[in-house]
Amino acid sequence: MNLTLAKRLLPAASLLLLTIFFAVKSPTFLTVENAFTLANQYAYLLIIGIGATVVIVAGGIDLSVGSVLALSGIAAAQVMVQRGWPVWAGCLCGVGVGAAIGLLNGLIVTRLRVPAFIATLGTLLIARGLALRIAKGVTIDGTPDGFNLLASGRPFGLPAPLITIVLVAVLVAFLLNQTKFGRYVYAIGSNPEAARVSGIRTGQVTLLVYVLGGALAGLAGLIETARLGSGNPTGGSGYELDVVTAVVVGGASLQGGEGRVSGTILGALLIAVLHNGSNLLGVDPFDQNIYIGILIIGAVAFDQFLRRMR
Amino acid sequence: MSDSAGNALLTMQGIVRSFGAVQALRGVNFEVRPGEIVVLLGENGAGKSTLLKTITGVHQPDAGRIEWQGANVTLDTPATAQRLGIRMVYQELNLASHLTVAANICLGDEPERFPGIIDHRAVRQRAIDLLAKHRFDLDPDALVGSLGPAQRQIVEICKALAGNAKLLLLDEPTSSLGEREIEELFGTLRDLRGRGLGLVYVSHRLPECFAIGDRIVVLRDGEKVYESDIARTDTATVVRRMVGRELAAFYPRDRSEPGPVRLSVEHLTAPPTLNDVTFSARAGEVVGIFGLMGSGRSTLLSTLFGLRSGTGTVRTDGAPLPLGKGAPVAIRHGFGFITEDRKRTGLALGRSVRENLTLAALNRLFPGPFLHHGRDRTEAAAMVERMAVKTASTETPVGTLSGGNQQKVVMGRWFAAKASVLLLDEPTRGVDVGSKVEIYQRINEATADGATVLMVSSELPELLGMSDRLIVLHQGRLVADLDRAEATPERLLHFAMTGTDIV
Repeated sequence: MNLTLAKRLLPAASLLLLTIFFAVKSPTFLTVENAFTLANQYAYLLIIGIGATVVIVAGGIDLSVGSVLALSGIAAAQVMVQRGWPVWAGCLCGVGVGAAIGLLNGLIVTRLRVPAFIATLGTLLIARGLALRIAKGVTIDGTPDGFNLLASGRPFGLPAPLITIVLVAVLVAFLLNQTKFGRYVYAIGSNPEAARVSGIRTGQVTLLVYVLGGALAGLAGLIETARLGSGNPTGGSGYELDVVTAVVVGGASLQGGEGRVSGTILGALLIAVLHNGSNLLGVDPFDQNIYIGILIIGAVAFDQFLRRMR
Repeated sequence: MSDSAGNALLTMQGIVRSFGAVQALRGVNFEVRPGEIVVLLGENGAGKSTLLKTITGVHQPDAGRIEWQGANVTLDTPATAQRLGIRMVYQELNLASHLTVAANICLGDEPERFPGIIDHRAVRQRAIDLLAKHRFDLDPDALVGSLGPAQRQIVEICKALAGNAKLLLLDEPTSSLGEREIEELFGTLRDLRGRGLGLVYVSHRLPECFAIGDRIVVLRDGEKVYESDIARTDTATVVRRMVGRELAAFYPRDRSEPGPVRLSVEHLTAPPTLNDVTFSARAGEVVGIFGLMGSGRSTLLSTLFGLRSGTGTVRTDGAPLPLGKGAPVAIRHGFGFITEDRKRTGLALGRSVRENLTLAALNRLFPGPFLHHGRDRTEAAAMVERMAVKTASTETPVGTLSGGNQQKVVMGRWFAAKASVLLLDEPTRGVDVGSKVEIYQRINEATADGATVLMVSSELPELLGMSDRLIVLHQGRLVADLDRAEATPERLLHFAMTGTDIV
């Protein structure tokens, strides 16, 4: 049996088993309505996770995404609610702010040579502080109805976040698999020195990777703000760890050079289904943390086991 | 010489040691007396390090006898050798630069106040005593990171002398030292000799060996081929004994009529390792680059490839190459670089053979931002065939291939990129004999297609067998530019070691 295939199938098989388990236990689990709820609630995990996949494949890490989500949401809410900007401009502002923090991350990593873990730990604090400062510590309520459609809209009868997720997934998967940029990302993550000697402008590529990760965190911030109808400066705390969990459970290596968008989607869905199904069954939320903890350790332990088999 | 065997410190007789099918030592006799500095010489792979490791108990001989101060001993572990007083002086890399001189000297054998609790005062005192005993002028409280290379070397020696050292082994102790520092170190070594220690000194720098040694031993292919008192020999003799063998027909160089000048290098300088280097290379020509470690040979290649900045003029096909502008610029000028360490700087080991093969060719294959997987696969498959890479498929992770096949992938990458100036740094290091010959054939094909090859190698037979012309670097300067017919191993070694022609 092909080991790489086994590795890719494991999250899918676990997801399937878990879905069957919850479907049998709870009549409401396998309904269209619940699936839509799932898409709404966990849009952040999928969208940021897809961006984080690129960062992690490139051998980096972005811990600032939770704060960036909050800052982008606050920025969008502030310009729309307090300055009366139109919805499209608010959206552009939110994604732009995310991209800007991503650019900052990339510059700190490539120019100042600060390790990504430290660089994004710093911008995690900076972005959070900025969000709280702009919002003066409270939520910015009353985002326009047109904007809230980002979460509540149902084009073609489907939840708008679901459509956004699919578009982002297709776009990023295309980027990673079908472009030179994607090939370079894998090469840099696998061996940055070899990539450099092969003529890849590793600095530029790495910069773009962080910009992409930041922009997608900004987009997730818009959806989260639309879902709540208000910008929350304390939102997104701890999301960075959920995201890393999803990416790693999906088969990416924190050493870089390995990982796929499809894997991250499965990893994120596994976490989402675990939470959602447990809630429906009335499992204590405290216990859910324990399951997720076991999940990530189990996934990586299994991966290590497969490597030894090679 | 042998009549004094009775008072020898260490006597080794008939030492044999094999690794698999390779015989690293074939019955070597070796002896060190107290108050003597023995210089051990030989080309790479001659068996020097195996011999040193046998003395320090890292390797056990398959056959042979070892006597220590007249009594038979078995050096089964490094700890046994250390207990007897055999110490190896490692290069400075083994020091903890964030700790003090005293802490480093006692590292691993700290005096304790209670079990597990270091007695810092005793650590310091031991260091002070040791430094005073050997009259070393070093501050025990200085951080090792703040010391110069010679001083670090002295800390290493101190570390080795802590305890009751009787035999000191030094492996290339001067490779990172300047001339004045070498004198300083030599003073220390002579001092130790005066106290009755035995010393074994390994170096590639002949003048040094003659300056410090009492006796010289030359190994070649695992055998002792020469031994003499320093006073009774000379560099030419030693070099001849080191090289010794005839060039086999192993190197299938097909010479083609060289074309016009492809690469011209004028006054290339990259401080501190490269100084005013001028040469040129024609299309279809293999130019061999020889030099000792630190002579600037690798720097020359990485400077040409834009990875380091430098001054001077470099032209390919007449077009000037801006220096230090990174690999992409050099690649546009036709350069391809096969680095010395394929695992560290050559391959994305976890990625497929295909991705590694086409990595540098993507801009040639796909002018836009998008990949075309069919084209990518065809190109990779063609290159696997051309390079005779033994792999299950183009999708196999390159890290699972053998060293020789990995090297063919690195080389194939630049063939795929259609590089016209190939820079090869030790292209056959860690490669099996079969793959070596295949790599030589690929070099022949490249030059037959009109490419220019610059090849750095520390294997003289390979360099002489494959080069049409040879240049020799010595301390960053180009000291010889020879046609293949004028080059002999003796001449090259002499140039590399002394910077001057053999007399």
